[in-house]
Amino acid sequence: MKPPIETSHNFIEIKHLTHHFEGGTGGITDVSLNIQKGQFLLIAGANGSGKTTLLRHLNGLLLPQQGEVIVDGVSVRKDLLRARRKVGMVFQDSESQIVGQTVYEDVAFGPENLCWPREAIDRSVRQVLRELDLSDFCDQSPHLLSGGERRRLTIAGVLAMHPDVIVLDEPFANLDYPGVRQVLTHLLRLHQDGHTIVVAAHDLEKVGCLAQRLVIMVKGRIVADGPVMTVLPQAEKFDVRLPCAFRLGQAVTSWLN
Amino acid sequence: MTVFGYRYCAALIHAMDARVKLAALVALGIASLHAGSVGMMIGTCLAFFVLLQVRIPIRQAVFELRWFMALVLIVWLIRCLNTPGQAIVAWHGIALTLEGAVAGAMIGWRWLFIVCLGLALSASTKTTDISAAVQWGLRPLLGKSADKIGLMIGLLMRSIEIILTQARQIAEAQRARAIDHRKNPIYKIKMALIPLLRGSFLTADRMATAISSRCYGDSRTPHAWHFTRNDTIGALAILLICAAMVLA
Repeated sequence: MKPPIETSHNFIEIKHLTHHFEGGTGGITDVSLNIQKGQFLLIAGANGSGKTTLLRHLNGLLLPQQGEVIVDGVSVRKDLLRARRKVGMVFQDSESQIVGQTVYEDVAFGPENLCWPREAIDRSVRQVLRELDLSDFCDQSPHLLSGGERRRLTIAGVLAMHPDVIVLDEPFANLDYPGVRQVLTHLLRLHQDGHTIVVAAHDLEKVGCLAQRLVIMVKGRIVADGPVMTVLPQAEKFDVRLPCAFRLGQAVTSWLN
Repeated sequence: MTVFGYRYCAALIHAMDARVKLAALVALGIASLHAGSVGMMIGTCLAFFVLLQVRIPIRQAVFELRWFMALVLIVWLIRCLNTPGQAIVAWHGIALTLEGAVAGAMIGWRWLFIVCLGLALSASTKTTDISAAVQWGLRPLLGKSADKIGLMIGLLMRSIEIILTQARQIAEAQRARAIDHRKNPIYKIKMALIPLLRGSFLTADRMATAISSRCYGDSRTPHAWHFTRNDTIGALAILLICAAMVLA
């Protein structure tokens, strides 16, 4: 496991963020969190703990009712487009995230929205497809891809916009073992390339040992925050299942080993 | 995957410019309104050739269009009953007339012809190409609003595919819970409709969120058109076929 990157630059600053929904489900209350550039952050918590609500504030899909979210020095509220370009969001349900009729077209959707010249779009799309091993599927319908390939496509869709931060909401949902390994491999590579990675998950089994920092949420509040190995022993107290190896008193190993 | 979705293959029709294909659909549709039975035969041969080129599974297409076929049959029957003329079958003052049968058959033929061409268009053309072609065609008339109409068409076509897939999944799930034992068709429709509507709204909502998160806005990179010599030849061929359909 990598040590947390020591840097004074907080790429994302969340200050006293509060957001509640009608009916009172899934909101967040007075959340403050700083995410440093290049960090691999895992946000864990049971269903309804507010993970998704928090993530949706990072690129302005939700705006704070109270508090503020600042991305690279600028408030999300002040420049939504900038926040969405800097923070790419991969949703839990890949099916409704895919808008293109072909793999190429779907990846090009974001850069087209940013009004890039056609040559720049083509360059970016082909590079991202190569990086995520999707070049062979360029002209195929996304619906013919496997679960793991589809998830990679959704990651490619945000990577083509050259974001600094990649936020993934439950990226391993509905994936089989090879699919999980494919996604993990690419997450690790993206992190090594210098991207800031934020993953929300309800269990720590798959990604726990790759992350540098673990934040646990309960009922819309942050209840634990720190290096993974420091926070991990408390996890089960907050309804987050410990990795199997950890329960057996062994070292937590990566699914890629 | 439904027959209405885009399917990639290396056929000539796939490579053609979407504007030419859309214009051809409109021209052939208008020509079919003025065509007699010989003209419709010419058009039908073209439609059949195009469907073969696009490699649409005919059996699946017929199955998925079964409700449309039922509608055509109902229209034919109404025509048979409403049009005065020589009775083929008469029963208690109700008569099916020959003239009505012929007129109804021509209407159904035209509808099927246009639907088959539309099917070939949607299976051989990416949604973004179709919506860009619509935008291109409407821009002289509507200006900036044409862009929004283009997007609406694109999303509608994508939604049709998702809704049909959801409908199939819901039907399978309900069959697994023995809905076939129910005889009342209204009950079956009601039980399918509620989850389908809920699922469709949820999907639409998620899609809108995903589109927003990828910076969708008023301005985008303009569509890249690829108009080639084949498109010119194709457009001329369609014009000739339209003329033949009307004049035959």
